[in-house]
Amino acid sequence: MIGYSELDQKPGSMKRILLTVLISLFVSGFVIAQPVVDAVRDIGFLKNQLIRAKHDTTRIILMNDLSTAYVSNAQSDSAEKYALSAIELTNKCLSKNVKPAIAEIYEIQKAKATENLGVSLYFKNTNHALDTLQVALELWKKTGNKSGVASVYSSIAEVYSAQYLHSEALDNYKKSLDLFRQIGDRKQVARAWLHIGFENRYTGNYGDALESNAKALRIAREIKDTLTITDALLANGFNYLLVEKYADALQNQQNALVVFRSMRDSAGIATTYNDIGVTYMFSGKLDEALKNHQAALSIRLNLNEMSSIGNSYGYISNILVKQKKLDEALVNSSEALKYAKLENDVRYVLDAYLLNGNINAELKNFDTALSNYATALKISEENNNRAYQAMAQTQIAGVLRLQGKNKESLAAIRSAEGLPAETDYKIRRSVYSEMSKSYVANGDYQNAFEAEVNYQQMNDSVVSAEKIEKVTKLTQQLVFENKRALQKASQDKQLSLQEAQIKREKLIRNISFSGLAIVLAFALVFFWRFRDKRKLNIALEESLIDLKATQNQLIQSEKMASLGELTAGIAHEIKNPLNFVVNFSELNNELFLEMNQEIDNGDLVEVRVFANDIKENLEKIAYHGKRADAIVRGMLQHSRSSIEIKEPTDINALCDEYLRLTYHGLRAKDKSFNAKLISNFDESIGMINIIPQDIGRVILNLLTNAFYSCNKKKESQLVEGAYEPEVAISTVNIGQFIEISVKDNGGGIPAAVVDKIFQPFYTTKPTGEGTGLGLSMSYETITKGHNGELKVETEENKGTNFIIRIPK
Amino acid sequence: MNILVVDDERDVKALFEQRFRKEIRSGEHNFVFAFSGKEALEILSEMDQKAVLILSDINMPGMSGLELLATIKKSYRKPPPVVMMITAYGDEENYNTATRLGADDFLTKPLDFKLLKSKLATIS
Repeated sequence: MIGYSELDQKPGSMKRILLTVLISLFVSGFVIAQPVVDAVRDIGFLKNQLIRAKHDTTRIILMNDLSTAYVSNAQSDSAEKYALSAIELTNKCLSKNVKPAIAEIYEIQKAKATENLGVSLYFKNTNHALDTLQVALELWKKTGNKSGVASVYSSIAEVYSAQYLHSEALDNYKKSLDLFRQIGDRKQVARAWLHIGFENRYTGNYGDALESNAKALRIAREIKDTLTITDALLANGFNYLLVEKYADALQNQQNALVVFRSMRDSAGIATTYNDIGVTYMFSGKLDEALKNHQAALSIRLNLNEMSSIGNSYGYISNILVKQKKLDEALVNSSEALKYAKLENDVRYVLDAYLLNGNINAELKNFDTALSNYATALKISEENNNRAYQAMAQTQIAGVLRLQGKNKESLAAIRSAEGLPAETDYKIRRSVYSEMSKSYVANGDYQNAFEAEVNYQQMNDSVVSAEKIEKVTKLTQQLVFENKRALQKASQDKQLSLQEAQIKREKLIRNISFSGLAIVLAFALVFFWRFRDKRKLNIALEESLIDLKATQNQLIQSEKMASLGELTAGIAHEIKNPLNFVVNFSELNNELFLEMNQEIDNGDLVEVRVFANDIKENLEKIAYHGKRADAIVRGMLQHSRSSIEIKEPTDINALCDEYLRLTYHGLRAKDKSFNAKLISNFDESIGMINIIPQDIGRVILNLLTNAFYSCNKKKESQLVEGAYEPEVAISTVNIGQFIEISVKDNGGGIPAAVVDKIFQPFYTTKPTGEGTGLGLSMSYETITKGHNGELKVETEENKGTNFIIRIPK
Repeated sequence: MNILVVDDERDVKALFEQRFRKEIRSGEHNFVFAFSGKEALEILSEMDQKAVLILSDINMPGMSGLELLATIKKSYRKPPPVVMMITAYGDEENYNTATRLGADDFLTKPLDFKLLKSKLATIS
């Protein structure tokens, strides 16, 4: 199941990038550039030319062109053959004593041929491909041809990407981007952005992916490059799909479909049907998904595109699995495997084996499943593809666990853990998911818990962190653009008003027949303008509504993030009351027995003593039981997003509870951290009318900041023990109002930024540690939600004091 | 045996007094309670260090149980008092740190008093 959604667009774009590079390189007059769709005809044409060619130079260039054409046609064996012949012939030519100017041409052709060889090996063995491309890189560098160097960088990046080494891939695409920029090749700049977008998507950085694709799309539209436009639209479709914005995804895919239809590009139409199918699959509309994939498949069968056919069968099989039609799924997955083998593209073969394994596992054909996974493991080891090794090992562990071979399962999943790259959150997520189950099966709950924590962390990394950060970035940009548009609209309005004024004055002066005509003309113009303005206003309003929705999502994410921080504290906090509940109730059992003996003895005085003890213990049990209940309720309320109402609340108890939760939560994360907690509550406050979970969240946020600031200061201390962190919370009753103060002796807030701290998205924490929403949400809660004030007093290196003032 | 119990939860006192009521009545054990690490050190300095057993919570505001443990094991000459850690965190890291700092035993909450009593029996 894993991996299929990642596969699209890759081989196609690989072919295309190479061909376009080639076209931009060779203006040598031998070959007339043909559009991509004519690749097949090209081959015949080139072969004819090659037969007639008399000079070695011409032959070399034609062989290179043929090799490139074969690569773009996904016929890697032929591509390899022509690349090797071209290399051989250039070497032969170079060994003769040729003039430097001629030698230069040969060097370029040799570099090109080596690059083609590397690319043609890509399908067979990625390690060999990488080695060859490194050689090609050196050759291109020697020729000083920046365009060639840039092209090899992007080919190297493709190979890394195929090996799931996405950070290396990204690195190489960026090098290629820089060079294409330097030589002003905007078409390739757009392609590079497109690929950078892919890589970001593969690693789960959907925000970055959207931004990169937007850049690709913009440039492509400017230079009217339909290929990149459609690729970027489809890529955006995927990005929206992965952040579960299915409507936006479908919109982008429909746009791509329009372009492909106008170009009569069947392969493109098939790809788009395929992508639409994926969108429907993710949004759970399986019947729609199946329809689109079958449409894609029938086009692809007509076109006889092996790898795409295999891909379609794979998707169809996946959907059938979801529909629990396992036998049908198996038929389709076997077709997928068949076509993948025909194509001899390692990743498709791997995917097909994994898929076959998964279906067999579901059908309880465990041995067949294991043999499928073992084959996938072997192939991925041969190709040094650690991500697929991890996937295969994870699935093997799952099946072994189902077979009750718990120890073997654990061994398999443990070997999977070290395989995927640090940043490959998606694969690590599935590894930890299986690991947790495997430890449970082995009765090792401690490690199971740890694996579960790791799983959650990976899950957060994939879903939340990047999403929040990038959506924030995009949202801010949108706000800015909207403001600008609004400004412009009002400027236009004023201008037209002024114009109207002038015209009116003129009209009064010469009311004539021609004047009347002018009146009519202007009336018409104003009418049209009014209509345009209205349209613009409606569009702006709509985008503002979108914005609001995004912001609400962000706020909910922030709530969940702070909940995560609390969970560890809760786990600890709940065990303390539990300790009392368990032990006092056991004690009461003993006391009852002893009391019964005293009843038998007739010693009523002793009986009374026992009865009194039992009663006191029952009160303690009830008290600590309620305490545990309050902790759990607090947690539930904390994450709730429904409408919250004000209720009489013991603010001191609330402050105390959140102080403990925050402290233990942070301690659970960082054991070395400690701080002196000081609480000073004004008992005369009594109950006040507030929304407890909202105020709780504010207190939690302020306390977290206070602890964070203390911790930072302690870390920066040179002399250990010279600084003792202190966090104090206090309440004061001042008549109509109450004040809550959260004070720390941490690093304080620099004067330069103190005005900004309540702004949304402002954060001083490193990326990933804060959303920049905490304080602004707190500010809103206190001022708008409770008609109060939130003030800050701070001094650098001395500490910070946040004061909440709310009416009772 | 003199036993010093350190925990920031006040009800711990009532719990121990009841759980060990027979042992207290018979004079087998004598309990003293401290509600912070600092208070524990003050009490220890006034007590006769011989035959003292310390049962300490780990997570306490201010001086934590682990810091208390380190201080005791460092500042008292041979033989240092026996220290058992009692905590809500039963995780390996806490356990390892406590062991490294010289803790003699490690118990988790909810506390199993039968187990604790059997451990006390082996010490005395």
